[in-house]
Amino acid sequence: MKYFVVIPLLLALVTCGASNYNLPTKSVDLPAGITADEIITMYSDIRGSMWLGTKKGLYKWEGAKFILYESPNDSAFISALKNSPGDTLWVGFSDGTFGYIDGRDLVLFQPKGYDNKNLPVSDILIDKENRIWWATHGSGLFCFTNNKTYEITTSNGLNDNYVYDIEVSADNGIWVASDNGINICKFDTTADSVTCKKLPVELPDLIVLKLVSDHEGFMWMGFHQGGVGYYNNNDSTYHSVLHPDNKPFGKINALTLENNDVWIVDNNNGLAYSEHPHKKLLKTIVFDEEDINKGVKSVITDNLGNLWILNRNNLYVSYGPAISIVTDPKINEDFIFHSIAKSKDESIWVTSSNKLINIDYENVYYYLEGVIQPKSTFTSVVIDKNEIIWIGTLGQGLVKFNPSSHKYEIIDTQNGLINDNVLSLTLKNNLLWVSTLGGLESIKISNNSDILQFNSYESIGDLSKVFIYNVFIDSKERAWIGTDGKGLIKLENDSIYYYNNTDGITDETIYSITEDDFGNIWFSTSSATLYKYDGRTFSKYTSGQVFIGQSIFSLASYVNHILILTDEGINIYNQIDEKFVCLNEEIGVDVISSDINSVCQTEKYIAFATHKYIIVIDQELLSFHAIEPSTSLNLITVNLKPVDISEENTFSYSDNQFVFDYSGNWPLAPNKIQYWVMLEGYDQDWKLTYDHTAIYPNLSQGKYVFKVKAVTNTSDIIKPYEEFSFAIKSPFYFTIWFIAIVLLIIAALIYLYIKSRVLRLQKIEMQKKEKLEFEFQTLKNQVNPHFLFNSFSTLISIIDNDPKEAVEYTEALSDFFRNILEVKDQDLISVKEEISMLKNFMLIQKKRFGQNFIPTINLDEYVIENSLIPPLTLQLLTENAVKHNIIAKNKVLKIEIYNDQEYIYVKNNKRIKKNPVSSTGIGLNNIKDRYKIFSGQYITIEDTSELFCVKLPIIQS
Amino acid sequence: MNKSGNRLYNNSIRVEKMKYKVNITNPLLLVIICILLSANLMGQDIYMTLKGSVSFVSDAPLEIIKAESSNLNGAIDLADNRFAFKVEVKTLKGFNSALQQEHFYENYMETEKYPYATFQGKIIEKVDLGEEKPQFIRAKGILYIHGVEQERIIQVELLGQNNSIKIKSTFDVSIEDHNIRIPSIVNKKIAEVISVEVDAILKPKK
Repeated sequence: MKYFVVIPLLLALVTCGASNYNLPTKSVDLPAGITADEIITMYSDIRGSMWLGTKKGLYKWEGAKFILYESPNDSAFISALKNSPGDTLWVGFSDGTFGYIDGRDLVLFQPKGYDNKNLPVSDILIDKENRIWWATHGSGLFCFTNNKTYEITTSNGLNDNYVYDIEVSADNGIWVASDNGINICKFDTTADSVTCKKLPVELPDLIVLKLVSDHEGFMWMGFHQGGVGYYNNNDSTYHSVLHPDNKPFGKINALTLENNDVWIVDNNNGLAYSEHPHKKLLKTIVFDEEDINKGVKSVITDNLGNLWILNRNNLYVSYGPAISIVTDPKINEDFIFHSIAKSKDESIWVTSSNKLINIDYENVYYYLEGVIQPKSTFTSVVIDKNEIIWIGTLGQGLVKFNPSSHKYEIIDTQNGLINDNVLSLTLKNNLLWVSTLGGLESIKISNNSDILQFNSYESIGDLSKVFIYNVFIDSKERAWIGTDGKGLIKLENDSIYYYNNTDGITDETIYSITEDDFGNIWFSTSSATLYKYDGRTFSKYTSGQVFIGQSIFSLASYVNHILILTDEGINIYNQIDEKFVCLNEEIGVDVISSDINSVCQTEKYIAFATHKYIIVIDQELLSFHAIEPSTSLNLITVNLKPVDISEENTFSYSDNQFVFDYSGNWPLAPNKIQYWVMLEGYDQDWKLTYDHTAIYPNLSQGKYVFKVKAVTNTSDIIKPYEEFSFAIKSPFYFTIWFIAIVLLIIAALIYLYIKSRVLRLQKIEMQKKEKLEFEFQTLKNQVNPHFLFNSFSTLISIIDNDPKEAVEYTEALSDFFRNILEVKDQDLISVKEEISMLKNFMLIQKKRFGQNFIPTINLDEYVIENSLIPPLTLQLLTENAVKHNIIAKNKVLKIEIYNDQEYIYVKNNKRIKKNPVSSTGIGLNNIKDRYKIFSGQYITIEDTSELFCVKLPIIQS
Repeated sequence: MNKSGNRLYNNSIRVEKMKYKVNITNPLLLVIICILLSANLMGQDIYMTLKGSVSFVSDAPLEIIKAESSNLNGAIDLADNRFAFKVEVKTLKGFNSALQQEHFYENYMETEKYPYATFQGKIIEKVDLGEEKPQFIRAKGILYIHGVEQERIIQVELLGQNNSIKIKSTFDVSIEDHNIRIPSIVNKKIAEVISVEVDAILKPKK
């Protein structure tokens, strides 16, 4: 366990001059390649971000490390940083140029008409009229307004051209600190010039290095040899500030205003701190490492409330003076502080074993040694309004002690005390409540304090056998009594209420009780459980919810906050934000141990006593501290390339490898930091991790929000958090239009396939039908009774005349029928076959009509040999001619069959019968269809009054 | 402002410009000293010396080294509150051995490259020669040693006496600040901070 250089002085001692802070610190890693010596300026911007202006560039503290800002001006180093009073951070360079931070960039500002003498810019500020003023080391002061630069040097009113610092006062005067005192410059709009006058008071030194204007209008100044002082504008007077240790001030390296308190950085003596500036009350700062105070260059406070200290060797960070750990090097025995009280002068009284100790400035006083028996101990101490100290003992009742007269008196059971074993004392409104191992008693303290009025509350019941740990009087004058095993008891207007197991208080041993500013009663139990009672219900909290610890020692409250002192440290619970922090390393303690609750509270301070430490908390300063670390999302890479966060955050489908780099800023205890991380759209719930990168290697399309929050404890309230929203687009083959097109194409293909198949089936069906019809027609024609009758009549007539010819005729008739049967199933036959069949038919008809029927077949040999024809086509046409025309002696039917290159022609002269044979037209149409189906060609019919001619396309075999 | 005043004003601008410009100091400084010394108008305000004394002491754990030069050139212009001083490093004599002196010149101070040490700038306080007691004034300027410039404010004890100015000053020079590298083997023989003492009587420029 590490302890700090123990200093007897307390921050609490505000009313009597000097006292010291003892600040534990941690060193901070500087940017790589930068030594503390190379840091020219350190600045905390208006948002509390830390910046370092160095000889090698500008750095910003981002969570866990310093990040370099690329400078447009590589040759020069950073000589000034300021964003007063606007929120732009201005950066001055050693070559007389200056610029400002715009987003992630450092942009040079080039004022029109600026005659840059290449001397370092020492300070920049924007006044209330939005004029830009900058000062230089050697070329005076400049003012840029109305698009014009005004130069102010010794030739027009400035005391000296070497300006260290400029500051704007409440009345918009520009105070200029130089090698020759202070000028106050103002822009004179009527004269269109800047006028400067000398500060009309004598200052202790000509060289004025630093200026800072506080919130009350005092202008503080730090000198090369003249220490520190301030100018009061109300009465035009200068006041020197004395060094708290009465040492001479060295060169003032920095003056920093924080929450209207002024930090003084003195090159010789280190840090001093002024809490009430105009009262000249300073405190010096002592560090656990003495070297820190040597050559301090600058001190600032960050956005968490931590104090950063830059000296010539290193950069340090400290929690600051809000929580002081007070111990004393002179207390060399192993002390156990049981109790604590503060007197009117804010000095601290503690008890340890059987001694009363007053820690007062540089001295420690011991009282009451040997007054009680060695085995007894002092358990508690309170101070009444007459500055009489009341001490509870274990075994010997009460000790009443007057510190001014050193007289003491023992009050025990012989004087009427209910029990001699006092566990705690509570004082409120002249009523001293005594909690003992054998019940509760109150003593009325009158101005004449010799007379004691006891009230033993025996009406409460069998409390005389109960240990009473603590009594708390709330703002409504109700007494809350913590008992051992009997739960919490409330005494209100002589009525008694018991709160125990039936109210959900599982552990009925109550240690410490307090009341918050909403009127809720908070109490802790022996099983490290904390309860809040709002008047109706009890809320129960255990470790991890609003505190961390396995034992709760003491409770206290201040505006919106509950302080819970546990074995793990000081827990600060902010009721409004529902956040808590457990401080231990940060304030320089690790484990706290205590055997009894001991806390005292004044208007400004809360003090805890523990075995090893006295912890004094400044409520106001503590309120400037952040409860939790700040979170920053530092870098996002997609497929290992950094993402410009300011751009629209939509990524293509192939950009799916995301890495998020984030950090939590808690520089005092970085090892405590964990991160709640969730990628909304991917993760179901928040995850807690120590990693400061989150990798998502293969995100699919969709909308995402990356959320991260740094915490120092595992409280499950995760807000506010840092977030980054983005979307990953669908690939083109998942887009709706693409899917629609693909579906359409597929549908079209299926449709076309079905359609073609239907057509093909229809065609096949048609062919079958045509063929069947043709067969049927042909057969019908040939078995036509007329045909048979005519044929047989012809045959009969021939039989008599020429039996031989009759045989031929019959053979032809029989061939004719056989051929029909042979070819009827074929799609196409050769023209040659068709001709041979036709010849049979013609022979038959010739026999019948004799010279009146003159068929001629005049086809080229080539066509006969090499062409195809639907079977019986020629025969059908010949038949038609025979059927429809009159064939008589003077009406000869001539049928010509011939061909040209493309067609076979079947032509006959027309002698149409007067009573035409009924015709279905099936014959001709059938030929048409068959040509179409089997050859894809069309036949042509010429029908005139004289001629009937059918053109059949030649189908090549 | 009369003619000479303008001239001095111009001089002062030149002095200002020299700051932060490394390695051109020496020739410029010579020019300035020449101008200061040759400014015959208002000559009663310029005081100078060619024989001032500079000494240093290095008080290291293992050895004390002392050396002194009486060749300090310097000038003070009371009209403008400016000053310039210069010494050639090789005029420093003393040391504990000839070898030590050689090391000092060649290795530590690198007199081949940087033959002079200078200090020039302005005087913060107004000098009152009528004052009978010694005055403490601050000289602020650029201290140029071993090619490295450092802005310094050095306290000086000044006494006006018999139409002359007596000055005396002791100040520290950190060898690290001036980039003077000492081999680690002799580390304990040479102090990290050298104490320098200046003592001179400046007379009016005739």
